[in-house]
This record gives sequence, C-alpha cells and structure tokens, in this order.
Amino acid sequence: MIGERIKRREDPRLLTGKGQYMADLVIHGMLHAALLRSPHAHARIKRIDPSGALKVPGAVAVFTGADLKQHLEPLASWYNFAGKQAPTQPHDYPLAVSKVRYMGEPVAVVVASDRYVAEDAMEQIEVEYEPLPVVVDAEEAMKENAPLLFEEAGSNIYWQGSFQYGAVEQAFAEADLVVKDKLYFHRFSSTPMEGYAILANYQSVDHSITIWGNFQSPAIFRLRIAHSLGIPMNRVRLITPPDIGGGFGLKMPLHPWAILVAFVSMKVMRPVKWVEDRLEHQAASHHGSEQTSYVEFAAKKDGTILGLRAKIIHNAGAYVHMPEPLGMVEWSHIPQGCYRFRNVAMECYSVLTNKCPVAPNRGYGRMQHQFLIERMMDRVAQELKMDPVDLRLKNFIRPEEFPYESTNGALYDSGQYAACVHKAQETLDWERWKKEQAKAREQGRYIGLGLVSIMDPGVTNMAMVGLFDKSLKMSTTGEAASLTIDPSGTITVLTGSWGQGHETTCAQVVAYEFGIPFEDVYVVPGIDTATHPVAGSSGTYASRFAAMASGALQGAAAELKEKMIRIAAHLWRTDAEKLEFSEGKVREKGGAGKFMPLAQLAALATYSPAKLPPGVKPGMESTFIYNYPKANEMDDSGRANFAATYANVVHAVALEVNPHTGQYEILKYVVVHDAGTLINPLIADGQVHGAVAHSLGAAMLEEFIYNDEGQLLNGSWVDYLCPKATDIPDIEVEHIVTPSPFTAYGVKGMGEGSGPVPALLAQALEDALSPLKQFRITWSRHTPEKVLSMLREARAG
Amino acid sequence: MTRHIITVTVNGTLYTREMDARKLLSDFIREDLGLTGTHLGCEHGQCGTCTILFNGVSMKSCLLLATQADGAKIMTVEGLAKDGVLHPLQESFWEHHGLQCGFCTPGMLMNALYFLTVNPRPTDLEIRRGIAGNLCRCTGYVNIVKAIKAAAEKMAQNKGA
Repeated sequence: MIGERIKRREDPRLLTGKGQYMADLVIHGMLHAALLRSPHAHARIKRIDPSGALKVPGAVAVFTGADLKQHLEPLASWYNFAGKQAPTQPHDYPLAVSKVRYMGEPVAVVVASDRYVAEDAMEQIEVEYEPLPVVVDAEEAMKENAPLLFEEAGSNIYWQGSFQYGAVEQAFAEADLVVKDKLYFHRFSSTPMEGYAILANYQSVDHSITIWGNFQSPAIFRLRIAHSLGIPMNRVRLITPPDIGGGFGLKMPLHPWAILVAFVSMKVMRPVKWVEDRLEHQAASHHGSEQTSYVEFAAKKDGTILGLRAKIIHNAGAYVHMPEPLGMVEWSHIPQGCYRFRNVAMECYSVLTNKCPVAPNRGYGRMQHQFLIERMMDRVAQELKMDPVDLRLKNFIRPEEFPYESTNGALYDSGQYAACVHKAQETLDWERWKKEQAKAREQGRYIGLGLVSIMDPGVTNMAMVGLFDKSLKMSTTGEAASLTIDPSGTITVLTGSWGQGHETTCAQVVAYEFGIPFEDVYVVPGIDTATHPVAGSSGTYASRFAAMASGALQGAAAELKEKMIRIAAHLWRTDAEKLEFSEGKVREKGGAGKFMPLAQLAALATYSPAKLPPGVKPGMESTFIYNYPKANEMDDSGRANFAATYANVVHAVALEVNPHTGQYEILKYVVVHDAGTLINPLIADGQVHGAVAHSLGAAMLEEFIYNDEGQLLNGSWVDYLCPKATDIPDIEVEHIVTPSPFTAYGVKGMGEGSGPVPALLAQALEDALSPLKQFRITWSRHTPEKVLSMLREARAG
Repeated sequence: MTRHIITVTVNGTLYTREMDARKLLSDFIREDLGLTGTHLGCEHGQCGTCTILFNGVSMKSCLLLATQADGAKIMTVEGLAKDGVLHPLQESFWEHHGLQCGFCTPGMLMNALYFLTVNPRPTDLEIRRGIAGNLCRCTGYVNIVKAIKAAAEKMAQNKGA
C-alpha cells in the first residue's frame, strides 16, 4: 500500500466541478467586502472621508484604519512569543493607519449586499494623500539618509544578525583561491490560481467567531488571530475548506485580511466574506523574497571548498508578517547544501522598503540560498578550469558519512548524492549531448549543458526562530492525527488535509498499518480547529506533511493495535505477547489459530466496556501528537537541527540559444530526486513537475517589476507572465530511494527541490555562450532580452 | 442599473433569470445558477479557469456579460459526466494525475473538450498550443498533456467502435 501509484481519491469531485473552495462557500445573510487600496507606495493619509460609501444603496458599513486601531491589537509577530514587541509592530494593522507604505495597501473596507455593490461603494470613499519619498531598493533603504517607513524605528533595517559556524577566518587564510561575487535574486511569486479568501461569522451570544479561510497553517496563527481580535483562543474556530486552489506557501502567513474580515463581522454582526481578486493578489497579497548577496567562497587548488562568507540583504517589503523574517534565516537548514565544507559565516539584514510584503513561496529562503551556493560552485569551477560536475562530486558528503551532522547542527539523515548525479547524466544522455554540442558549435549553433545538485530540507524545526531572537526557545516540528475505528470496522482519520493528495496518502498509510482495504479509510477533507487535533506546528508548509503526518498516523495506529491486542488477550485469557495484529484482525502469532476482526473489537470497546480488561478505556479512538524525535532547541551558539528530513535533488538540462533572438529552447530536462520512501510515487512525480514549473517560470519569465516611485508595473496576468503549456518542456523524473533512518517508513519531505533552476539555466547559458565569451551570470531571471544583451556584448568584444 | 431577463440552456436545462446588465456570465453561472465548478482565477481573460462551451465553442465566461448568453446553449464542467459516468477526458485526467489543486481543472477540461473536436488526433506540441490559454500552477502541464493525448486516443477508439 505504501509505495503504490494509487489514483487520488480527491479527483472525482474536482473533475466534476464539485470541489469546495472558499469562493463556493455561502452562508445565509452573508455580506461581501471590498477593500479600497492605496495608489501610492508611500504617503501620509491627510484626510479620509468614507461617508460617501454609505449613500450607495446596498452598502452596509465602512471602516478605516482608525476604527481598527481603536478596537484591535496590532498584528502579532514572533517576538510576542518571547513577551516582546517587534520594532514596527505598533503600526501594523490590517488597514493603513495615518500612512500607506506600499502600493495596494488597503486603507478602507466596505461591506455590502454583493461584491458589485461593495465595489461601487468603495469608489465613493474620498482619500487625500500627501506623497512621501519612496525607497524600493533594499541597499538604498539601509543608507542613513533613506526615507524611513517607520520614523519612530529610526531605521529601515527590521532585523540583522550574524552567524558563524566553524573556523571561517582560518579557512579563508588557508585558501588557494577566494572567489567573490554580488548575486541578485529577483522578486516573484508562484501566484496560485485561487487568491486568498475569508468568510467570518461572529456570534455575539457567546462572543465566538468562526473563520473559514484557505489557510495553510490555521493551528500556528489561531493564537495570534485571537490576540488581535480580543477573543479568547478557545472561541476562535478556524476552518480550512476541503479544497484550496494552490497555496505554495503564500497562504501560510498570518494574513492581516483574516483579522480584518473577522473584525468587520464582529462590528456588523453578520457573516462577511471577502475573496481576493487577481489584481489584489498580484499587487498586495504577498510576494516571494528578493535578495542581494555578497558572497565569497574559499577553495583549495584541487577544488576542495573550504568555506563561505556572505552578506545577505533581504528586501522584506513594507511590513513583516509572520512567519517573516524567517525567510532570511530559512537557509540555516542547509548552509552548506550537499557539500562537506564546514566553515560558514553569514551576515543577514531584513530590510523594509516600499514594496509589497514578502511571505513564504515554494522553496522559501532556500531557493535564494541554493542559487547562491550553486552559482558560487560554478564560479570556483570556472576559476580552477574544472568541470563543474567534477567539482560537485569532489565536495559531496559521502554516503558512508550519514547521518551527517553539519557545522550548524543540522542532522542530515541519508543520501547518495553522487549516485543521483550519475543517474541524471545517464538519463539526460550527457555524453550524447556533449557530442551534439561540439557538432553544433562547428555550425555556429549554441547548445549548453547544465547540472546542479541541491539539498531539499523538509519540515522546519521552529527552533529556527531562535536565530533572530535567542529568547525564543521552540522545538516544534510535528503533526497530529486522530483515528477512530467504528463498530462497522471502517476508520475515520482527522488530520490536516490540505490538498496535494493528503486524503489519498493518509488513507494509504492507515490502510497499510491495519492491513485493511484503502476504501475502508475515510480522511475528512480540510481542517477544523474545533474537531481536528493539532500540533504546535501543524500545517502544510516547508515540505513537511508526508514525513510528519505519517509519524502521527503511525503513532495513533500503534496505540489502537496495542489496545486491540490487550482486549483480545484478556478475552482469550492469554498473553498479549502471543498475539499480533495483521490483515485487519488480532490473531495468534503465525495466523493459524484464533482471530478477532477489528470491527468486532471496536464494537466491543464501544458497546460493552464491562468486557474490557482493567485500565483499558472504552471506545476505539486515538489521538497522537507526533514531534520529530531529533527536533531540538537551538543552543547558544546558534546550532540546532533546523529541519527533520534532508532530501536531495539533481537537475540536468540541455538547451539551445537562438543567437538572433536571445530565446532559448530546453531540449531535454531531467530531475533525479531522492526523498527516501515515497508513499505514492504518482503524487511525488506530480510534486516534482510542479516545483520545476514554478522555478522555470521564475527563471525564464516571472518578475514583479517596480519603478522608482514604487509603482508595480506588471500587476495583471497580461503582463506578469506565468508559464503556459508552451513554455514548460516535458520533465523526466527519476527517483533514488534512500530512506531516512529517523522517520516513519523512511519518508522524507519533498516538493520544493526546484530551487536551483535559476542557477541551472545560468550555468547552461554560460556553457552555451562560452565559445563567444566566458560570462559570469549573477542574476536569477534569464529573459531572451538579457541573453540578447549578452550576445551583443560578446560580439562587441 | 438596467435589469434584463435572459433565457439560456445550461447543461441541457432551460433557465430564465433576471439580472443587472453588468453581471458577468461567469458570476451568473456561479451565483445565479449555483454551478460553482466554473472558477474565477483572474477575471481578465488570462487564466482560463472559467472556460465553458458557448454554443459549442470554448469561451472564457469572465469576458462575457450574462445578457450576451440570451438564447445560447452553454455547457459547464457539471455537464461533462453523464449519469454518473465520467467523460473519457475526466477519466484520463484522473488516471494520469493531470490535476493537483483542481482549480484550473474545470476550465482545462472544457477547453480540451473543444480542442479535441477541432483536432481529434493531436501531437504533444499541438496539445500544448491548444491549452496555452489555460494556466495551471501545480502540474507543470506534464501530466495534463499526457492525459489529453490518452483521452484523444480513447475517444477516437470509441468513435470508431
């Protein structure tokens, strides 16, 4: 059952139009909200007169930032967990108060009988702005005379920190070669097809509120939503509906809009719904992180990498919403990637600018880091005139070195990196492409090959938040599940189920544990904090679900099987050690003697508790909260096992550049993936395809482009280019399976291992154009325009 | 706001409804008829999640006003399966894991259905071009292309039989 390519049980409803997404939810009497947004990137709100909105027939109420400031606590930050306040937090409300700090920031909310009317009313709100100087570049924002987003804070640097692991000075002193570069990683987002959406229903009779939203992590932020609203946490119920139209991390943060819609429902005492439209999403939901890095790599002449030093500047946008500024340190899972070097120094800055706030986006923080590492590996190879693949092979952590504790405390579970490289070369047919390349060059054509190798850590250990404040002592990684066996012998599973095939994979695990048919396991779609068990870190983010939920399901199953064995032993007056659970029943070991099916045992525990042995509780239900056993707290030197699993991925490509247009065609694309045991390879392949498509989109097409006034220039899907079917090549996926010794079934997290695609294309483009000139590509988005400018530069000599 | 009364056939059922002149066809289908399988991903004609068949032709319903559908025959994703039996395209998307979050799926299916009437035996490249007006953010299109190809073969066989 585990490891089978089972078709997803979610699909029939999705294929027939019966999915239940946020926009499909209706409650009797609900109102619809629309948000008025700032056209300015930075301005003082001199006057706001919302009264015109209420003159529109059908409009019910309108609120501004002043109303929120009067009634709500500002948005929480990580610092609240340590009883502190973040530097800019006093100003952070879901609507702008006195100042707007990015284009698209909401300044007022209107509720009306329907969305059309709400937007009519919104247009009647008068706002007078006094534009202020704008800063969009993070390095500019760090300068002394830069315009300040939060004057009282005295600086645009939200957070800064330095970490040193190993003997960095010594490594650089011993190096034969030090290569340096400034790298830029651009701003984009995976822009899910469905935007963010919220439906809130406040009940004044018991001061409780139910909030439906396409939340990826309701458990983590429930406390913080309750905090802002001033409602006790046990009266805040969060529900994620059965279906989410893509999240990719962007629906993970503490979204101000959830609190806003909840506030409005409290005020108007009616259910209120808001569905983010595409233009709102592009301009002002959240973007992926933009990063500038100054990097140095120290190496020996033979190619041995000794260490890295980096100054990293993270453009956080105008506000820092949890889990930010985690994106700045998210690389700390894997400072050295797949390589053996042990000396790492990082100087990090999270900087506020007049751009949209950032949030997790598939490959959160790691993608930027993987770009940095893989680009610098290529730079070292270029300097040493070594083959870039050989350089990687030389520096890999070896299979016999696992479990491998890296210099910052990350405990790599397992891996066979060189085997993955060899498989990728074989699948791509590397040697044949080398010959094609040589032939092409004789004809004046430009074929380039690329191969990169990255670590794809799964499951964030929240210990990581200690990196930006040492008093934050956390160690939560886990997931929760509850299993109930009913008297008919079918099993109900409650655990967060957020799409990505969770209903299918969880049912596979449970069917496997009990040896019962897949169809006998029902996984309740979605999640509801009133009914579902949760762990401190529950959610779907950081490639965590497969590895953590399977731990919780295995734990709950083990408790129930042990209970059933105890009951049977009592009834048969025998020793529990002589019995086993197999194929849906308790039986005498070996299977030749007595047996009792689980339906009978569940019925007995439900209806006839007097028959149970002493100390065994009635019912056949178990709730298990699993925490990854190797998840520790961060120590005083900034060391912890910041992830739970350490999958790895190799990408290889052959592409051809058109020297006349700068366009390039991907001739072949191969991924070799090792995520340990795969619960369902069909779903795993799909995750790899999707991750590659995101990163290819980012590397070839997508970027949020702002001008100096902080105006987003491509805020629609006409001009922000998502990849179409004609942009993405066929992607060949191969797996190597190196199980984790530490997780249930050896499963590792997966689905975000496409981080190095911008580096991969850079390497292949450099290779393609190498007959003309040895380029050093330091940027992450490779448009035809950019390639064309390289060709012109080469021709100009 | 001017009100209009229209009569429209959707998935074989005749509806007469009154609505504001400005109501989008996509909103009409979702809100007035309760057929929420037609999704809204951009409302400016770029993503294709709202694709329907309009008098037999693939169209993006967010770019039409409901009043333009007066007298039209419309088919939405809800009309694809017959008597609980999935259409070969639906079967094939299921078999080949041609969907993940499912949000683009209804529009993708409707456009593929139309495309296969125009080109019943397409190559992979023709399929990619045929669905280039429908965005998917989950699958990288790899399995969607496989699913449409396999469905085309199945549908051609069924026709021949």
